[in-house]
Amino acid sequence: MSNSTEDNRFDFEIRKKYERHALSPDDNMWEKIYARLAMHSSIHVLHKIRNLKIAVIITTTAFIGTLLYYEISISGKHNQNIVLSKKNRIKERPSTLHRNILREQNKFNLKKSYQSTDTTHLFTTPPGLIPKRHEAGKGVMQTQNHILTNTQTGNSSKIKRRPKALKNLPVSSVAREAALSSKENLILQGKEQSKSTINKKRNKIKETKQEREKLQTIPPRLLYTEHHKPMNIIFSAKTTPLDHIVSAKKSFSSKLLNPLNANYSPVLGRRYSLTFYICPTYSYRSLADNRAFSTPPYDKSYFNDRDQGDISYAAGALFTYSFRPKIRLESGVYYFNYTYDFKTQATYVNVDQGYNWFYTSAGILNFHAYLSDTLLQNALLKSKMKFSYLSIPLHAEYDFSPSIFMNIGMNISFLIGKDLQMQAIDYTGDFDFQAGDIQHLHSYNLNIIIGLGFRQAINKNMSFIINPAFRASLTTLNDQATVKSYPYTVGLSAGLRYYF
Amino acid sequence: MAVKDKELKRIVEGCKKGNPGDQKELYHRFAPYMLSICNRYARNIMDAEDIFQEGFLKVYANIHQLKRVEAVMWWMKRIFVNEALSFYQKQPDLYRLDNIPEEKGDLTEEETPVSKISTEEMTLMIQNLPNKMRMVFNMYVIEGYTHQEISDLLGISVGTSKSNLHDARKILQMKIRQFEYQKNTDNNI
Repeated sequence: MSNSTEDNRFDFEIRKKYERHALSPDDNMWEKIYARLAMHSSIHVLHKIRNLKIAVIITTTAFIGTLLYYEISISGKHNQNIVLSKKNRIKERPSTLHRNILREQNKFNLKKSYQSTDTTHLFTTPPGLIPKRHEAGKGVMQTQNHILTNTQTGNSSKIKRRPKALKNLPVSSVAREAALSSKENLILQGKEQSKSTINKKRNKIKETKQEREKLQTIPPRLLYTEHHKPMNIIFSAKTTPLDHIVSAKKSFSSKLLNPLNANYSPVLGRRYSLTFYICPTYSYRSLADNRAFSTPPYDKSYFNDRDQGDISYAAGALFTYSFRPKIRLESGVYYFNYTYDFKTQATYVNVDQGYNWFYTSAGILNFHAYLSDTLLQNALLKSKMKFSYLSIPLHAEYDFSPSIFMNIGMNISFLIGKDLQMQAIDYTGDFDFQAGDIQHLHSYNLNIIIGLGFRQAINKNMSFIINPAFRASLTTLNDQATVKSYPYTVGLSAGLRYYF
Repeated sequence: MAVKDKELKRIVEGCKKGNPGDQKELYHRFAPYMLSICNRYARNIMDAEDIFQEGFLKVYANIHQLKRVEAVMWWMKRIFVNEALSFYQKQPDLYRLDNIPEEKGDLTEEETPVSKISTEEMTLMIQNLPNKMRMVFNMYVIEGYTHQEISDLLGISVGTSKSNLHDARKILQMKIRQFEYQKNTDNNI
């Protein structure tokens, strides 16, 4: 008893001696600490840079998207230029109109007919009759010169030398009559044509007329135009209807029928497709304090200082159904995961007491380390959390153009696995050990996804797709965590779409 | 007092934002006390300075965890103690109990003349204790940890902690007697 009192007195005296004891450090001690602090800060900045992965992915995505967009639009313009330049092959000579033909011009109100939105008007254009460049808007007609010349020389074979674009087009009866009567008048005006030749020509023309009237009953149809809008042609004073007809036909064919064209879209007219894709993503989470379970200091700011996003991936197959020309619905199945790291300073973890735990933003993580009792004390603990999901999506796709589309939708994801690893970094070195479990994780998760896609045809059945997308969770990982954790990913998926 | 608290709060907030001016101010305010702690736990002043540097780096790195500004002194003391403990734990060759001095003077139940010894001399005696003994002594006697806490922190059993404390006391009391005896002898000569 007296021994205990003695000890207490001794302890008291020692404690009293050191109660206010202080030692002055060296003058340069602060400089040393400050230098090391600066070094730590620069390392910290480097760690922060790793957080910029997301920015890098977004920038890369935007860059690729921009490149693709310009590539597509420039190549499209290039093709269009080619089409427009081809029209110049149909040369127009200076207007020398025949008076008899001029009489027929008033029968046509070109402005009215050519401004119609019905594509069938394209095929009712009288061959060889086009408006003057400067009078096209006024509905004044003019005969194309080469036809005149042909009829004047009486060379019937040359009558067929109409522009190829008009060659196979059906001709209305009025237009045909106009052409016919003009030609007859020309002949009757004392040219060197014999009556038999004229009759032959008339017969031929009549036969042609009958054939074309038959053809006229068949509705005009182009491949892949079932979803296409009717063409709206408005003539300008600088272009002739013929130019428009030719360029329109050529551009139709080049846009829709040429698979090598950048604007070629096999989607048009294809209702079903199947897409396989793989998608590297950057995954992280956003946090909100959970008032029900929050136990300071394990709040939002605590985890925001310690968590770090990581690279994960997604892969899957989607079936697409096109129920509108530009709108598709897709569903299927795919796998994706969320991965992120958590770092904290361990404070004297006692590993002899069985399972230990520490707070993470996903919930409390249990672990058991079969290590010597002192190693974890004051070590830096790092845990890698990977949550795997199998997801069933329902997305809608909308086409901005044959090459660019937007997708938006929701998916329900089922937790199929969680991989938790822990690493302790101590003065003695790094060592890994198996983590236990995070309890009370949601077995399913609701997500929204929004993305912008770029499509490039490979052949008539397949196209290559790049789809930068953002996926965010609407539900928390764990309701009983001290913070509400909403994972999200930003990814760039690449895949192949097969149309059938 | 309220003004001091306000100023301390400003300094801590500045440190949380990484403001170098506030970091320096915090250093100048608490460095002497913290160095004193480090010196007690260390074997010599060089080790103490190493612990001191590491401790301040940890303080700046973790100051955002500090919720109650008025407890900053206590919080910093814990960090420095922890740092001192880990400093010696990473040196396994020093982490032994086999260098306890053999000499054991007559320990009577007379009053210990601690007050007659200067703090520097006392610190020197504590520094000369074996590592684990020194840790236990400092934590129990000066910092006020319980044996259970010490056993948890050092990873030893409660009994070992008590035993180390008892031995540390005996050694220190013996050294104090020797020191007193030596001093008296020198005065007589």
